[in-house]
Amino acid sequence: MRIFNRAHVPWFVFVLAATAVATWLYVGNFIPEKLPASLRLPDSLIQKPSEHRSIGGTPLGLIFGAISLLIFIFAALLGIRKKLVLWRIGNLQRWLRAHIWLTLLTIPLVILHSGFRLGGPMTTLLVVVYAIVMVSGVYGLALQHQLPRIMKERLPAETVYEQIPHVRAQLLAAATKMRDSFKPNPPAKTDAGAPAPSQIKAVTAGSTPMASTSSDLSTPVARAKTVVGSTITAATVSIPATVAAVADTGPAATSATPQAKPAAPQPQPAAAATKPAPAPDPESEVALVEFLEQQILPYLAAHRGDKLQLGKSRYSEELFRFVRLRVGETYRGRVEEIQSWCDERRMLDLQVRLQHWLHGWLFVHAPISFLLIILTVWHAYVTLFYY
Amino acid sequence: MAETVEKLTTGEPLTVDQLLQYLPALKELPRAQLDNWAKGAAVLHHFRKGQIVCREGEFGSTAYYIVSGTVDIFIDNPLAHLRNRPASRFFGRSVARMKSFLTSDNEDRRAEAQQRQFIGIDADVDLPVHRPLAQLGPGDLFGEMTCRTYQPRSATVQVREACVMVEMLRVILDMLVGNRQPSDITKATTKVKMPTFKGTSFKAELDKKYRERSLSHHLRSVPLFATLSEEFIERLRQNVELVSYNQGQVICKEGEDADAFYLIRSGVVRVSQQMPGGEIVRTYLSRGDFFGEIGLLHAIKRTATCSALDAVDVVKIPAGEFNLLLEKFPDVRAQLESVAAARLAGDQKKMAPAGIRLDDFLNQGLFEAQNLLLIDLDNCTRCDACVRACATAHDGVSRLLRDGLRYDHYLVATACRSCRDPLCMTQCPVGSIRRKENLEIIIEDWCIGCGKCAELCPYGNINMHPLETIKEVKTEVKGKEGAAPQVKIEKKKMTTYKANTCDLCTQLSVPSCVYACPHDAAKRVDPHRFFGDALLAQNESVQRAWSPARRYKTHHTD
Repeated sequence: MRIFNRAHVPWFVFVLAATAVATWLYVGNFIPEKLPASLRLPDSLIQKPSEHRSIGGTPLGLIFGAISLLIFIFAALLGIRKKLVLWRIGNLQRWLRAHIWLTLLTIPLVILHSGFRLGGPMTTLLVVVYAIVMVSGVYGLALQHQLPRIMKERLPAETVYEQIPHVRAQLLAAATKMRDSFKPNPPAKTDAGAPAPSQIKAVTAGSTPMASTSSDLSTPVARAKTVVGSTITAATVSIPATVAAVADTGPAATSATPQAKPAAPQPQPAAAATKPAPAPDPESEVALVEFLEQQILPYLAAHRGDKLQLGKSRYSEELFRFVRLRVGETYRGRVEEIQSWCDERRMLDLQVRLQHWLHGWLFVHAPISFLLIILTVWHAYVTLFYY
Repeated sequence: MAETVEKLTTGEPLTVDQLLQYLPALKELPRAQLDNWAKGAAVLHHFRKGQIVCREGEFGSTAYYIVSGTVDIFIDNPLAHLRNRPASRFFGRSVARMKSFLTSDNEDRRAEAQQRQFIGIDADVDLPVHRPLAQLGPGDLFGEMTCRTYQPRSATVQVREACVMVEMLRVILDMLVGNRQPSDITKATTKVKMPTFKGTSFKAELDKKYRERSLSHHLRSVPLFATLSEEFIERLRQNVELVSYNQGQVICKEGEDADAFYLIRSGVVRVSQQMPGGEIVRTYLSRGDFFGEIGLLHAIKRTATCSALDAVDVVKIPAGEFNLLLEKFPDVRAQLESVAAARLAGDQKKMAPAGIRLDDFLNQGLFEAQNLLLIDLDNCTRCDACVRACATAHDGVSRLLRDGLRYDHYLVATACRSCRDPLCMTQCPVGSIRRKENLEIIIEDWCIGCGKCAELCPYGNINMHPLETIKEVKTEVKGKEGAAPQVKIEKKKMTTYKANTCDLCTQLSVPSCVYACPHDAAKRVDPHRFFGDALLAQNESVQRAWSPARRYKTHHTD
């Protein structure tokens, strides 16, 4: 919710005007000597607080309190309104604007209702609860004002939040598949009862050095790269390696992933079809397997990737630079592919963190608001009927 | 060959000699060629009465030739489209829960729903819209497009009288009717080198049958020609040309002289126009559609290029015949003129709005959109209220996914946007998805629910909505000893599917996604106006900042 736009101006003016009127009534009632003579209230409207136990107990104080309670109840109705999406009773933007500005209006109303005093333990508790609700609300508003922009800039290939576990699993599966493709074939068993190796394994195993797993992915970054004309690809994705890796791999890649469905059929040049696959380099493969097993797979499998070293982009850059130097030239495309997975995983972790910040405050704001309403009703009941 | 055997798992395999008995036209081919290619590529089926040969929406790769017997060919899916209405009006329309219903255009007329009388299918017969049923008999061929392009089956075929059929793979079909030259892309990608078959007298026979039996029907199926007299139809039948085009071949080119009017007999035609910034696909036309009228009516050059997307057969009405038709039947002329005017108006709408850089706009397909759902990423808190609202408004099936491409600081969410190149329309086996003249996509009542359009949409903007229907299922019950089997009709509850796209919640005043967004992030906009104004303002401010007067002033003050 962007608060600095035209739609909020009438509300801002209204809250200022209502605050001014409330203040004028308060000062006119309780400290009239502070007002110039022309602004003083008629004597018939003035009640002395001494006639009541507190300012909150005066008719004006009660009005301030009652309005505040009604606003609290209205504010709580927003949660119900959100559930009833098809009700044509004012769109949600209006409801949210009213929610924000009316609850802000309760700040002067509550202060004037209390007469600038905390009162007894009950009212003090009420003020504390109210303060938590207001602070959490304003904090949430500030977060929802700022974080969408940050997310837009730092998450160029953002995915649907609920899809994140699935995308993570895909990344892990791709890394595992790559690791398996580098491992040498197990010795053939002579056990007649053993099940026959599956057709797919026979294709992926056997150390095809340029086999690529990237075309299996439907992750946001992969999608961002394959969609023609995406502004994401042009401007902000910092991982152009996957495409290059796939391009380098040529026919071997396509033969290793027969089940992959390309977004659009691209004609392969006839010459490429006859290009021989480069010879495997066992040393590089061992290095890559070790790297995958010790660094990549634990990182991609971790629940909190940001807790690991690879979760830091600077460390990741340095590490991958080192690994690129360690493997043969024909394997560098694969290293870049792995790096793109880690970058994507880092981005997903960031998205999760930002999403939690964006909505986490509601876990404080909503239940405490509910508590506030209960306490306020109780406070009203007790003060009206027992004092 | 192993592949061919897999595709024809059922049926009695035919040797070359047996095949020649059933399809004698193949004798015209050299024996060596037959031995090399025809072996194992066809099987013989003996179907009993009531047996289903193929069902609509099923995927297949074979064609059938009826040797003896007759079959019913029909569309089984309900002829209806999806509509949302309040499920209960107890609390009034504004608060009622939405429910999805199947309804036909007869009951719930949609603007610009097609007034077709016939549905084009993958056979040389058209099915009447109100009772989509026809019969095929000995010598008929069906499933040709499925065999050539792997389209889903366009109709259900049920045996009416005990049948003998030859089910064939594409190679046999190519031998019989001649194979089409593949496109350059296919040539570059395929490793298999197919021989060139010129076809046999079977093709001429098919054309003759089509001309005798189906052409007049086909001409009449075009609403424009519905009022033609019998004698003129007869005249057309004698004078039209039946022409075939290969994949990618240009049928008529933008800027050339208009010399004929075309009616599509089978296949899909791509209509495109050259625009500054690239070629724009105007639409795709399928069986029963026509093109080429604008140039002839207004005696102007062709306004668009029409090319064959796959193997296309057309009925070509030469300019002379067409002009005679216009002279004799002024009502046809009036109707054609109104269609041409609507198409030209549609072209005008596609002109770029002032102030927009075409390359930016074209790349994301926003240029063609009439109504985009944009999500302002500066405002959106990813609460998914829009998605939940869409699901609630559409019986639990959301037609919106908060994902897609970004343009500026907007996310172009997945909701139908009338793409520059509407791929969804390219493989509909019954031509039920089409573009209105205002570019909006409409799914006609005769959608068979095969899901091909949903599969093809690159943005995932078409979804398949499951609905429960009651269908009559015929089952054969064996009679008592010696008695003939009886056909028992049972009513069964079945799930049917209908394709649907965003309907802008037309039953409600504002789209639910927009109404439910608390952060003013979801917007339904006309992109031409929305981005046009924004970019125009941006350009003007840049121009002002860099205008000579401003520069002079700046230098002067410096």
